[in-house]
Amino acid sequence: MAEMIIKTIRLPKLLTIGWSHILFECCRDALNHKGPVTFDFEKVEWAAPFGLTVISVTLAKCLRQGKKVYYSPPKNRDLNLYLERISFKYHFLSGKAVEHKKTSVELKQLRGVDPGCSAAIVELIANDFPLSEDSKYEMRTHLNELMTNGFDHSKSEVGCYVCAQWYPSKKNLRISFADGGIGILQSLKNSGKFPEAQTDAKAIRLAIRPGITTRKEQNGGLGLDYIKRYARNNNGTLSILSGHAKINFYMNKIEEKYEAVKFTGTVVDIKVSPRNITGLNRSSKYDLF
Amino acid sequence: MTYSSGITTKLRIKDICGRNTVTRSDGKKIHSFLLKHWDKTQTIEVDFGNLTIASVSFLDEAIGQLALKFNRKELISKLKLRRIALRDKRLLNDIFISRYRQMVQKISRAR
Repeated sequence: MAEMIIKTIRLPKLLTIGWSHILFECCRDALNHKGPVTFDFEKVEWAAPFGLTVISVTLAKCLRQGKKVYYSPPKNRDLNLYLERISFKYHFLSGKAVEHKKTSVELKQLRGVDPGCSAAIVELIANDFPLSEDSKYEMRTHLNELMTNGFDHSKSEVGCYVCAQWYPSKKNLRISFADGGIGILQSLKNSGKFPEAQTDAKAIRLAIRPGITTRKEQNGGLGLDYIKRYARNNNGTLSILSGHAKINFYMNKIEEKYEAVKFTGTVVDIKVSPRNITGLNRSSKYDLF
Repeated sequence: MTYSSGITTKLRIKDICGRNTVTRSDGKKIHSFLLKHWDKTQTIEVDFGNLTIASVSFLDEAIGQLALKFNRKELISKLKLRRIALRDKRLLNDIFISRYRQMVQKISRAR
């Protein structure tokens, strides 16, 4: 039998949300190829949590397809060190645990909701940036919500991937959650409750509205709305990518983009400059308790 | 201990959920318990045991959604929250407000 040809997936210069269209093409090519694949990082100069979680989902799917997967490291010294530091190669080609390092929360595969992961991200930031207890609580709450959403709806066979990076000089945090599941549109369609959800973009916009949930006979649907408000209140951006759609929720506007190549699954990416809040224990006249 | 005297029912979150207080399915266990005892008792004390929950899903599913079934007066008179972390209490109050707002919108749409 002829030996299978190894396909080299040349990753783009930037593994960032702005380059999602190129990255999704690479992921599609890796998944469509019948034989072994090499993820070639040679030209990559910058890898944001978004890029790492998307590649990780794709890697996991390739491994699940029974393919051999190879890794070719970047030429860029800083990036190479970074990937070494978070044990990218070791973690994904050997499936072993990685050591937690100071400026990044290791790229992590989650098989279920893990409150310890949210606590670790919050502590990571608190090491460099003095956060009030209220801010820590708020951040933890939203991270827990992202995880819960991922596991409640995605039906991902490769779990969810989370990666967080704190940029001390800019004082901003980027967190990305990616799953390789059915996507938001399919999830809404399966529920049979939202005939108006006909496109990926409409489905994302619907999913962000309070009270919208795919759970049968249940209420819910507060999570994404709370996360959107959190991003807005912390000078941030919430981006949701699912299927052919990418929607960026900025403070004052919503930007919708069509992705020519579909991403099978959902990525939620948050960029925030955490502000120190206080007064979460204050009561209001509308309170019941 | 979680028990019912017929007048007061006491529910300890830890007894029912242990340390799993994040997901909706965890919260559902509390919600089912509350509904089961709602009409049989004058007050229900929910003891949070000073745990910090920090989960919208859990608090909404466990308690927040009672707002879709019972009015404000009934909730306040029947439900007593004990040893709840102040930040969780703030979050829970926000959830109640969201749920009541949702009810109002639903009613006005129906009209």
